[in-house]
Amino acid sequence: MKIYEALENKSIRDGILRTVRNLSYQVDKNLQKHPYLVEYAEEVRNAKKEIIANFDFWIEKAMGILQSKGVEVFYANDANEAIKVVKEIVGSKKIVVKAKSMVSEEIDLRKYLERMGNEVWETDLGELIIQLKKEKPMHSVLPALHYSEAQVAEILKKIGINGRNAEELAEGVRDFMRKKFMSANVGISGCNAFSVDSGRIFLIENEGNIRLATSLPRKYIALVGIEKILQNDRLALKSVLLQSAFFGTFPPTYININEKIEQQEMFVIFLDNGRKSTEFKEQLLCIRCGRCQLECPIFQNFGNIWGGSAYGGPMGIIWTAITEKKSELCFLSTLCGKCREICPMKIDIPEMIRELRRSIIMRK
Amino acid sequence: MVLKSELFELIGSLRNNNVEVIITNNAEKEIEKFKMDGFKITRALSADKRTGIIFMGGFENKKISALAEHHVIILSERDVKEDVISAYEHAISNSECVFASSGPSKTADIEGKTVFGMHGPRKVTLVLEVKNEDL
Repeated sequence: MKIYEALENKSIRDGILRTVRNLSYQVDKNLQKHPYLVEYAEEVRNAKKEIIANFDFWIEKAMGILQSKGVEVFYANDANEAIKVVKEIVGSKKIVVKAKSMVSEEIDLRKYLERMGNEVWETDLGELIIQLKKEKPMHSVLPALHYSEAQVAEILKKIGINGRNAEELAEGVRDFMRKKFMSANVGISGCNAFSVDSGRIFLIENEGNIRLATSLPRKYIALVGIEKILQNDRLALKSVLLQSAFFGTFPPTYININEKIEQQEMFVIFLDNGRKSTEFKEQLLCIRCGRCQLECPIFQNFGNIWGGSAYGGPMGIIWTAITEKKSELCFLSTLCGKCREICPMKIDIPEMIRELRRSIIMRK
Repeated sequence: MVLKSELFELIGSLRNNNVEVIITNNAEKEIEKFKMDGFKITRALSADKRTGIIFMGGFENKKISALAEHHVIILSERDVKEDVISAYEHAISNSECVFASSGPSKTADIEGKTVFGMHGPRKVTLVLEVKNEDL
């Protein structure tokens, strides 16, 4: 979909505004009920700044702790290297169950695994809908927020699921996906936070698909953007709780703390893909709560189409500049500052958008 | 029944998270009725009174916590902690492969409508075991 087609698509705007109505007051409620979250945010911000300032030191420590626990660890400089490693681990003719992961979207992983003759399933309901529509997620947390119940019913017919309402459709997907979980050879997830101290991968969710996808298959692959590294479990736990609270769904139904266990082969791939060398280091503080997207007046009109091939919205404009290219779509921002105001990590996105604009103009 | 204030706080958090709460001084007797197909029973390591996040341990229990139709969790009063970090630290000092749940599986991916039992348990019951003198 092109950017101005998105503007004509009323369902994008309706879906985003419905989500804003449902979740914005929840964020305020979470912070009123759990004021300590503001202190957590400050701690996590400071900890991430230290990691970003000394990436090489912390990456080496992270890789070392995993190796000591028997995990196969890889470092990918870019998307191609990451894809090559995953392809070698997975091979062909396998059933692969995936947790929703923006890093896997960033490297377009599903496409490559499917090309090798694997059966790959997105197990998060919203992401499955997007997979079946062959689209990009409309939001990093709620990928299919722009589809109505009737539209989802039509989409799910492609895999033989019939239902008249959200409950029946979810039931159909539960039965369908349970069979895939039970027969899967490989599970793949991203990482919401990584603890250097213990080598544990922290992942939050509400559906239970991540727990099943990362614990039932014999092989488990975790893709970790290097900015997800934190010093210890306490900080990693605080970071994932913040992600959930600032999106509006708190507490998360599941906190998965994945680590090497005897019954499972575990592989961890750290991905750089522009992160270490970027001039937009401040963006690496992002915990991907997705709040800046929902609250942005431009995102509310264009959705994730306002962005690159994976990331969209205010944070997505900068993430795209880090991982893909500097996009002229940054000129659509109103620089109203709402994203900076509501960001738990206090990231100054408007200033980075100004910088991005300057560099694009200078290049011309 | 006289309950300590922190237990009231925990019960409130659990109910907000759509968890059924049973208070008893004899958990073993209470869970007898759950010992049938579809029910899975796990003993919790700790819980945070402020959020209702329940920590458990063990890889098999982790799988059970997502595969069960109805997940029944036993929690001892002494393992109720003041905050989530204390609850986590208590859990990891007592078990490997720690994980947490706070309620039944759910999704709002279709038009923002909440549906329970997306991939994991449709129902979660917490059996809170308290001392005799509290009942």
